[in-house]
Amino acid sequence: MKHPSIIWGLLLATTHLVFFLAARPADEAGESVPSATGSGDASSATKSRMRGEHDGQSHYSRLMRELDASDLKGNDYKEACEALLVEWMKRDLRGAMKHLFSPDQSFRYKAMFEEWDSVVTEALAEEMARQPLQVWDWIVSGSYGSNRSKLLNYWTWAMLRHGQREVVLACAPEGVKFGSAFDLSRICPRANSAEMEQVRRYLDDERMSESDRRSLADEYARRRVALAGGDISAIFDHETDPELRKSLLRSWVDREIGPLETADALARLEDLPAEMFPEALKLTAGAVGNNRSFDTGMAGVVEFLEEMERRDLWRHIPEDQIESLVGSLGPSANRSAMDPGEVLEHLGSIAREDLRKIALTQTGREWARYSKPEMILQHVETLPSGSDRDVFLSGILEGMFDEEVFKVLRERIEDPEIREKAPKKAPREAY
Amino acid sequence: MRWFLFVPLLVASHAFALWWGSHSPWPDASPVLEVKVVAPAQQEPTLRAIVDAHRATRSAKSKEPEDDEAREARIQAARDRIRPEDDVAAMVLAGSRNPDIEPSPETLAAYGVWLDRDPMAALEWMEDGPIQDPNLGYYRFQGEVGRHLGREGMSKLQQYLDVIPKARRSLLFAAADPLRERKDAGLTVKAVAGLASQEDRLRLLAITGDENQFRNHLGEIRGLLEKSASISFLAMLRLDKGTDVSALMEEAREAGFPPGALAALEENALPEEYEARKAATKSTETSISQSPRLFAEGIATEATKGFQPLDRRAGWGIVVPDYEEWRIDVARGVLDPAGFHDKLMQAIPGSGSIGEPVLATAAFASFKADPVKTLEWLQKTRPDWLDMATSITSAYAYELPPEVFATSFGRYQELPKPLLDRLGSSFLHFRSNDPAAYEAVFRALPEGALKRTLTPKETEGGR
Repeated sequence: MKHPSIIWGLLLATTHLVFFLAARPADEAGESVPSATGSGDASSATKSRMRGEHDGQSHYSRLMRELDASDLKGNDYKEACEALLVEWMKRDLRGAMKHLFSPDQSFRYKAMFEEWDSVVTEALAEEMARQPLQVWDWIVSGSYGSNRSKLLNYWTWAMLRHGQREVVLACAPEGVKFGSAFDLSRICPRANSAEMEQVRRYLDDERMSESDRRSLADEYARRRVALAGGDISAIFDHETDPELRKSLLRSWVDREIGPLETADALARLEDLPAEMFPEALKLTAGAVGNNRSFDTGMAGVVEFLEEMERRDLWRHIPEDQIESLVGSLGPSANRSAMDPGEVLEHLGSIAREDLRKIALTQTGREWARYSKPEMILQHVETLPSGSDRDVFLSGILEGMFDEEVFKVLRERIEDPEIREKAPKKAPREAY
Repeated sequence: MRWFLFVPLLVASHAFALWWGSHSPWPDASPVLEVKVVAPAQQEPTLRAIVDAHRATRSAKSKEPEDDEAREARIQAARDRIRPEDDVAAMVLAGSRNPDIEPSPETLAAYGVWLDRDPMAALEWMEDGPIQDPNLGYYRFQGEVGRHLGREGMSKLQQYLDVIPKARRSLLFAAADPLRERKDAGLTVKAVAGLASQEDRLRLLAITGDENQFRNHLGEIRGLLEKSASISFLAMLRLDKGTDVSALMEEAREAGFPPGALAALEENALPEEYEARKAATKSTETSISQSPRLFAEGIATEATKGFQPLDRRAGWGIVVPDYEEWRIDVARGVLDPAGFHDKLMQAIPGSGSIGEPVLATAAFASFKADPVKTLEWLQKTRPDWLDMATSITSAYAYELPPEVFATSFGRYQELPKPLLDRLGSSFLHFRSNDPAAYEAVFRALPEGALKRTLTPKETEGGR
């Protein structure tokens, strides 16, 4: 301790230097920076979010450029890109949205946002859900151009996913001016009665386009019927809008009538308001037909037609609509798989001649359309002759694209009158 | 005691050091003007820090997703905790308050117990309650219904169908789960026999099994199906690729399936076009890996179909393994479209003979990554660049934002009609989707061919 003053001097100099250095701003490129990414630190994240609105964008777009220019390749690049986007959205959602969804560069990031449950979309949803109304304002007032519809889509999805359904409904009156870009129908599938009331009011908004209204009405009707548990008066009593009544009827038949056996289905229709009956009958034919999609023997078609007769329901169907009603009864699956002998036997038992003819012609046409011509030739040989077979053949001709087979089959029609009425030229394949 | 006077002095000088420190930039930092940007960046992490942190949280999370078994175990454990006096229905309602979130194992377990105690009420709730999402076509609580049926026996199935016919779809799918799991065709056949309608029998058979499961049981199955249903059954029976069709056919014949059904099986067993194509692709790939020149030669012999990219078919991965990487490089801005094209030409042996399709491949891919640079490049290299631009636009008219096309083509006074038609329909779609956003883009368009095309023709043709 010969020179205490020197030691004191050094000590003082050191402490001053330490204070000086400690107070200095950290070098952003320095390796020594603490990796305070703040993923778990809510308060610092909020602060950065607030700050990010001013300068965050430049920082993160700089990092994006840094990443693009780096040596990272393949999955490493992809992973880094994902990490950067997630962090960017966490720190500065508005800046991130502005960059990632601006029309002149959004296509670069398209793939990253394509999957609904990717890390990036999940992060976007989470951040949007943290500040719903703020983000809504950014979206509707920002310059996202054609990408606004995408953002509105993500926003709606984010709100539903994070249980903020009331926000979606609250924004709906403003959302309507964005056309189909704002899709309220997504709230319907799981909506409760109170939410459905709000959707119903929204349906009256005159600013909505016809097609948007129709698709929302369908979703609305589907949920309405489910909520009513099939109770007809709860569904129709308070609805006066004719278009909505139609949508409701469609949903009701689809859900409540379709799964029933034919007799039960037709019996239940009788509870409907009278003016809806004809439309309901047609829809029921379609729903029952749909439900019997494997009925290759056409027994179900016969049963339905006869049940109509028994209940005297044909009077509700105008003559020019009989054909389409019968058509909707046919099986929709595996149209080539059937035993024509069985079909002829069943359909041949239909008592009313006009119905029998329609059913035979249509079945023949559908069968021919979906089957191999050689197979049809083979099967036809085994059919017992008679006028039913001839009518069935003329139906086959309507769907027979192969000209050679068409000619052969036409010759097989024995009844000259039926042959005369049958098509004279093979139809052109339309698809 | 004089040293005591130094204390305030020391404090003051240290305070000065603090102030000075906080106001002085690093010597190698950016110019003074940018200090403002750098200063708040104290907390803003570096790229490296972001990536490391992301990797760490991801690897921590990746341990989380549990397999089915662990989930089953958690549901079972939750089930064991439910006491007889618990109101399970209320537990289910409480647990599914947010219909957009997956129900917890506790909620599922409560639902399972509810099913056991009062199946009709629980099933009715599943159909009409807030959890149902017809758009998804499946039901979250279906697994519990399956387990319930497994416990109670499949004989319950028809009872439930009778009372709640609208639950038909979910009930049949739920019943199929435990049946599939047990892989016991006898059990499936028994369950099918318990169903009243032919349609339901067919459905349950179709969703439960394939030929492997029903081998040696076709006789029993035939006994449960009417003629027409038996045809449908064989027509839609799922067959393995390498199945021995003749043996299956023999069994079906002996089981008494009608000729129509056998014909349907024959049709069903025909190798699908897709399978045939896949086999062809595989053999082409093998030969290209031995002789890469075959790739270009194969394409060169085909008729050209205008300016279209190569479909990246058999052998593409062999001759251009780095394609994806280069494409991303164009998007990153580290490779320009011309360089991308050069790389493709160099990588594909004999590329000279397929110059046009390779050029189209490069142009299409880089247009999606960087449309502006791509068009500049084409414009410089090819006098017929507008025809190429038309082909590219046709392909991407709905995939890229219309603004991209506005930037690329807005300033031209003349453009080919097919291109304008394409652009017109793309913008029309935009207009119907978000009229206000469209209006802004339309107004910002410079006077030119595109704007003229998009302008409503009120004065012409007396509309």
